[in-house]
Amino acid sequence: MTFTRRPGFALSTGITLLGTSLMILLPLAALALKAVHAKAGTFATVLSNPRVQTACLFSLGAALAAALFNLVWGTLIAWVLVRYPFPGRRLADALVDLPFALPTAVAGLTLSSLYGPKGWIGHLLPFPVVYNRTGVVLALSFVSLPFMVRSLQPVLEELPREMEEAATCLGASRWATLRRVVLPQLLPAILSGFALSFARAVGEYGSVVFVSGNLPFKTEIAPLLIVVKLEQYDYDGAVALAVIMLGISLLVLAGIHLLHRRFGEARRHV
Amino acid sequence: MSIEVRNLSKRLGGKTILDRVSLDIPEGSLVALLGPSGSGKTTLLRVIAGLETPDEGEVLVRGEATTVRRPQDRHVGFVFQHYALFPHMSVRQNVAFGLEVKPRTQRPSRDVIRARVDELLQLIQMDSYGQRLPSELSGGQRQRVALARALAVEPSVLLLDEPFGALDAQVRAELRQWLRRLHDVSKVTTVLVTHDQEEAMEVADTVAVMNRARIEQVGHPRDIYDHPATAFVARFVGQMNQLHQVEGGTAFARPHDMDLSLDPADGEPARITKLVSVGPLARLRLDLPSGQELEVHLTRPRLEELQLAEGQQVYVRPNRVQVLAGDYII
Repeated sequence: MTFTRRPGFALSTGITLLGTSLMILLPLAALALKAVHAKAGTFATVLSNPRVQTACLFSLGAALAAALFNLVWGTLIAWVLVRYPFPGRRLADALVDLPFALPTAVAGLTLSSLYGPKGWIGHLLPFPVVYNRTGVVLALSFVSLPFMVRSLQPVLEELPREMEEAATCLGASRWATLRRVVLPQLLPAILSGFALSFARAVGEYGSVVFVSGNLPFKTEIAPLLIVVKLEQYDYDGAVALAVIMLGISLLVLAGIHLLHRRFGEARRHV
Repeated sequence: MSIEVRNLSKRLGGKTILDRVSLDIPEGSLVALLGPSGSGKTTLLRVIAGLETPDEGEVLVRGEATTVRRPQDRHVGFVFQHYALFPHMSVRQNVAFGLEVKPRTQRPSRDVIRARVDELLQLIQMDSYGQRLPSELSGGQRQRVALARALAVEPSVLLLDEPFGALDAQVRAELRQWLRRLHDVSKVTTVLVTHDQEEAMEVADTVAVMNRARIEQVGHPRDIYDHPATAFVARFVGQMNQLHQVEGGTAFARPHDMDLSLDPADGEPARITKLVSVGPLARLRLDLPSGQELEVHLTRPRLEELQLAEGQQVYVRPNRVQVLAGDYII
């Protein structure tokens, strides 16, 4: 095989690798190194702690619930924004990015005051929303919603209307057209939106601490537990917990990636 | 199935897209809607399909009003310029789609669907392509699949919107001959939208020429060519020389209805600016002293007889002139 010279290859690759290393790989390596140097048995101790187990499971579960909620809600928003011209659409479109821009602590405060027992919305609801698990899921879906909408929007915009018209002329009902023609083509984008939403939700800390009430064994999330451990100068424990969370997140993302590939493959071989 | 279009009007954003359009499409015929872009031909086709609703007027199928019926229930086969195949489905799945989405009570069994798809793939000469994805096909193949998909549900009307518009010239020519043969066999009432007059003339039994939201003339391709009803039709269909204003309109002559001579008594003086003699006809461009340009086609024997060359002074005379009223401006 001959190696063709590609102009700018060495320089651009060098810059990219340097940036990636400094910003992503180095911190992760430091974390791993710290974990290696932790006292023997720290992992076992941390993992066997029921409070840690509950927090980790709750973190994952809540993130998953938020991502699932966004799957439906975000898809709907993207659809409406792309397909229906309504007055104020551009404003609504810009508002979708708000959770990106808003400091998460502000989001948390806003949500807790709105949905709190005395809040504008909270006092109308027959069930409590904040300071329990619902509140956590609400906050997580708020901060991760833009990922779902923004992953889906460009794909929806590119989807030719003619394809749906073709299905309609062939006698397909609106529902059959959606299920057989539109959704299969959106699936990869929906999966990436879901994965990004999930990843964002797992890492969220700022907004959750304001709405969860931070009750151990109930609404405590893993990132909060890490902060608690740090405050108690339990660095080894914090690192162990961080590594565990990192591992779980990587596993879930890898799983979604596989699913993504499976669908891509399946489409080719049916 | 016969289609009757009655007084269709449609406006969009202050612009008139269809202006009281009426058209009869007899059962089993192949009608071409011919016109420049923006003349309303695609909108007319989409109204017939039920994809657009008219502001006024109605579409009758076998004398029955359809304007209120949903497009799903109209039994039309629609073929789009850009194919609109389902990219995530194989060729077979695309063709079978219309059969598989039928309500359970009307849906044929799996074996019947399979046999029908086999038959259609054979018809479009793509038997061995069933498992391919649309992205793995050429443009001409994709359009044939789109046609097979539309035919699968045995539509009562086949509507083709610029079906060959995105293909290169050679494939276009092959496909339109194939379409004509297909129509001769299947006898499905077909409406073809095109801006290519050659395509309309070659394929259709009847051509309807559209301009500015109206139908200007409907007729046999030959009548439209020989006896254009308006100045627009004369200029749009085939080449036409606009000669001069006369009482009641403008005088026109086809390039092959003109003759040249070297004798000043035989016509107006003109100069040959361009002479192309490739093929059975020689094509000449002439400049009149007024600055007007004329196109003249001569047979090869006539050209040799006159011994013409570029730059030469000649005398031009039309053999056959048609005077047409109309406000067509170039």
